[in-house]
Amino acid sequence: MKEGEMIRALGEIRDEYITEALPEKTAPRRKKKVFRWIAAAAACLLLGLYLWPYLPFGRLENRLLMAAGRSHLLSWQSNAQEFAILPLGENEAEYYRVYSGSSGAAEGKDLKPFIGELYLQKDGRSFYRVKGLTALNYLIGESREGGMVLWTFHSFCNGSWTFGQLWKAVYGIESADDIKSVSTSCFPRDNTDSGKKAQKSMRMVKLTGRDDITRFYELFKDLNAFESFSGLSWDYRQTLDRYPYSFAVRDDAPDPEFQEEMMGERVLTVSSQDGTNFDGWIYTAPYGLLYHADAVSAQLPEDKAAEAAALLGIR
Amino acid sequence: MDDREILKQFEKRSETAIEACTEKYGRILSRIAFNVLGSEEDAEECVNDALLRVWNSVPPEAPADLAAYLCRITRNLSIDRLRANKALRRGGEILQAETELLECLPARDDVEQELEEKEFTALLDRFLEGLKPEARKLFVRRYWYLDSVRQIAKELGVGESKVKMSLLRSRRALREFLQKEGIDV
Repeated sequence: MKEGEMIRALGEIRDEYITEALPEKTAPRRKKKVFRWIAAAAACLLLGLYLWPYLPFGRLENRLLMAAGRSHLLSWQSNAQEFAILPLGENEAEYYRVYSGSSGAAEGKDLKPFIGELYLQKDGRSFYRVKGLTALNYLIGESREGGMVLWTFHSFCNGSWTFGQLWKAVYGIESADDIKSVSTSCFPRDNTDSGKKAQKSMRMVKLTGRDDITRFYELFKDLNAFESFSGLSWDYRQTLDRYPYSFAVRDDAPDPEFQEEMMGERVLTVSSQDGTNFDGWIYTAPYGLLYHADAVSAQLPEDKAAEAAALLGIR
Repeated sequence: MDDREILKQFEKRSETAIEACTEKYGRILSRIAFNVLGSEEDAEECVNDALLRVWNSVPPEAPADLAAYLCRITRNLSIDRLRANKALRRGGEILQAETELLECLPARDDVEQELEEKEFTALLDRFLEGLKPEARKLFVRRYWYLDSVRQIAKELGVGESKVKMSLLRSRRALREFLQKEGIDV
């Protein structure tokens, strides 16, 4: 069987499996007019609240993404449909183009006001820093077709690196002094009613004290990380010993193991001294692993994992 | 309009059938085509071709499941177009999906001679029958609808890791299943 014929053969599976997995309920539902008006009013209110941060005094990142055509109201993606390999620090990094909407065809016409200094030229294409952003997690550069689009840092390209190196090269964080705060939030993987109740019981913290931030930085800065695609990080995780942390899973949890996994995880938001937030870090205490995009860290030793869990309010 | 009524409209050769299909299934068909082709323009043309194909084939055909029938035609036409365009290098989710599925494939070149495509599909049906409904749904969403892991996770309200884990287990199970069926993996 040639490559591609697997997909073709799969295409002929029974109808029942296709309809069973239909991504959305396609039949439009009839609603009474009054509900439509209420829904419209609620939508306007939500839209107003949603757009608030994108007004000129909103966060730079939000305004930037808005200008790039990416909106949380639309489906969006920054995936490898187009990527660029660019030098970054002592390594090379993979940047993904930020797409917007279902078409994935956003042209960043409104990005002009955000174009800062030239970062580099590669293969005849120019990439610019974002004006007002010291970090290199976003760049504005030419797409394959030639228009200016937004690019976001995805990962270093090869080998392994430390999170300290990543923080320094991408975010300009060279020491704990460059970090203003570290906040934790829930990774809401369990969206069942039981899972939502469990989320409310989870403790979240915001580290602002210098000692806590230094401990945080020291714990993770020398931790090695490597890129891991398509679930390979889960293969890797299965080879590791799970530390003996247990969490009080609710009695009504439909999948206790899954809920416990959620309770042992935190999404981390690191804020630098200039007020820029860096999202997307996930720490899982039972395995002592830190994830960022498709990168996963080496396992923290048990004593350090316990220290990290205590610091981040997980245990 | 329900599917039976739409099929009646097809039988009457009424263009209302096409309008109803577009209204009811247009979004999902566009999504399937876009997942394969990665281009909105190509996807739109493919959906139009699919609707034309249905117009020409119903009647005499009378699909028992109109949704699956439409989706399947759209998917097949999209894959044909992708190959015809020689756009594989620029393809969207299909490339990733194929790469993930390849690990389940036998390495031997003569498998095609051993197993005709229909027989292979029958094997896949049996494999899917043995999966738990939730795992099957994820598998079909990823490898039939070619939805991205992120999209699936978002719409089902679960974490990406859960989706990835389920797919990994299903692929392993598929590999074992094929081995048991005598396919030399």
